[in-house]
Amino acid sequence: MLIFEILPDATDIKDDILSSIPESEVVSVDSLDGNDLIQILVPLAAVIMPVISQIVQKYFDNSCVTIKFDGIEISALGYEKAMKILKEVLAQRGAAKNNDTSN
Amino acid sequence: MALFSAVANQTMDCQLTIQQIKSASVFPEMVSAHGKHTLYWDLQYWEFFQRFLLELSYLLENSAYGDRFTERVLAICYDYLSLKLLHIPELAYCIQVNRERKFSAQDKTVAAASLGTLELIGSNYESGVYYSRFLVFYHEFFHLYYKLNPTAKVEDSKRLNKLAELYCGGDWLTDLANDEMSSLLMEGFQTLLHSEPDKLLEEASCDYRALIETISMQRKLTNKDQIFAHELQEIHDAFHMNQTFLSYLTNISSCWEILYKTYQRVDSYEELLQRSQPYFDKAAHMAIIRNSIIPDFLDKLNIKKYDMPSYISILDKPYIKAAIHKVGDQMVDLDFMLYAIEESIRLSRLPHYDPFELKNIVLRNAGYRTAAE
Repeated sequence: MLIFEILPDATDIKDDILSSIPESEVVSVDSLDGNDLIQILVPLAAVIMPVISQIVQKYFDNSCVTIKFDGIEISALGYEKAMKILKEVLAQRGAAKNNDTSN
Repeated sequence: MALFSAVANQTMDCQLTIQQIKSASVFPEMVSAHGKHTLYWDLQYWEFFQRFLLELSYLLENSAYGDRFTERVLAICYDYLSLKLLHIPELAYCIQVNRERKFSAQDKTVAAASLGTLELIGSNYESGVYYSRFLVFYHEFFHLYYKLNPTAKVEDSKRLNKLAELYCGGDWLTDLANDEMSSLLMEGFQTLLHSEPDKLLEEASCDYRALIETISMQRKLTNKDQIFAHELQEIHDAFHMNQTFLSYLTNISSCWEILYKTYQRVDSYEELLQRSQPYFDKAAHMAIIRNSIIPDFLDKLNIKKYDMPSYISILDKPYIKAAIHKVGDQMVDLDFMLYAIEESIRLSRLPHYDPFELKNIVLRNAGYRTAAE
C-alpha cells in the first residue's frame, strides 16, 4: 500500500489526490506526540500507475506531503528512485502471480 | 481497556474500539476512517515510559544515581529513535548500531528483577504507571470528542484562553524568585494565548480535560466524594512525568529528522545550521510549552479548583532537572548527529543497499518479528 501522509490543513492536496485516485481511502490520525496527519491509502496497481506516477512527481518535494511505501519514506529518495522502487514491487507481484497461476 | 471503552461509550455516542498493539509508530494514536474510530494503545510507548519511570524513581530516591540515570535514559532514547526514524532505515540502523556500541549492557525491558526493588524506590513508579494511563487515554479521547463536538472544543479553548489571560494579568508569577523563569513562562503564555485554536490550545484543552477526568475517575473508583491532597499530588506528578517524557521524545525525533533532511539539501555546514536552527528552536519552544508552560498553568488552575495548599512537582528538584537536561543535550549533540547522518548516507549509497531489508534488520534487532518470518 502506498501512503500519502499530509498535514491536516493541506485540504487542497488531499482533494487533489482523492480526485485523481478515487480508489484511495482516507484515514485521520491523532497521535499522542502531536503529529496529527491525514493518511491517504492508495492501492498499488498497474492500471493506476500512470496517475500514481503523476501524483508522486507533483508532491515528492512538497514539505506538506510524505510518501511512504511499506513504511519507507520513498519521497525522500527522489522521484526517479521512488518510482523505480514502486515499479519493481509491481513487477515482483506480477511475477509471483504468474508463478501461482502456472502452479 | 474495558474501563476505557465504557467511559467512551458513556460520554459519546460513537463507535470507539480500543486495540492494544505494539508497533514502531510508538505513540498511542486515535485513528478515524469511514465514521469508525480506533484508539491504538501502543504498548511500545508504555514499555519505553515504564523504563523511564523506573530510572526516574531510582533517581528520586538517590541523587547520586544521576550519571547512571543519564546513561540508561539515553539508551531508551536511542531505542525510541531507531524505531521512530524507521522510515529512514539507514539512519535508524546507524542509531541502533551506535546504541549497541555505547549501551550494549542496558536492558531493553523493565526486568522483573528490577520490579523487586520497588519497595526501595517508593510509590512514584506505581502511581506514575497507574495514573499516566488514564491521562493518556483521556487526552486522546478528547481529541476525538472535540472532532465530533466542535462546539465543545471552541468553548473549552475559550475558557482556557480566558484563564490564561487572567494568569498573565495577575500576580501569580510574583512568587517566582527567578526573573528569567518568570519571563519564559510569560512568553510561553503569550504564545498559548495567540496560538491557532486548532493546535496548541486544543493540546492544552485535552491536557486539562485529561487531568479533570482522571481526578473524577479516581473519585469514582474509590467511591469518595473528594480527592485527597496526596492523590492530587500523585496525579499531577504523573502528568508532569508523562509530559516531560513525551515532549523530550518528540523534540529529539523532530531535531534528528530535520537535520537529516536539511543535510541533503545544503552545500555547507554554515548553511546547514542556518536552515535547521529555526526548526530546532521551534521544536524546543514547543517542548517547553508542553512540558513546562501548560503543566504549570494547569497545576495552578487545579490548586485553586481543588483547594490544594500548594503543589511542587517532583521533577522540580534541581538535580532531577539537571539530569533530564543532560539527556536532552546529549541526544541532540550536533557532532554525533552529523556523524550518524554521514554514516547513514554512506550506507544508502552502497551498491546493494535495500531500504526494506534494512528496515527489517532494525525491527528484528528491536525484537519485532517481520513479515518475512
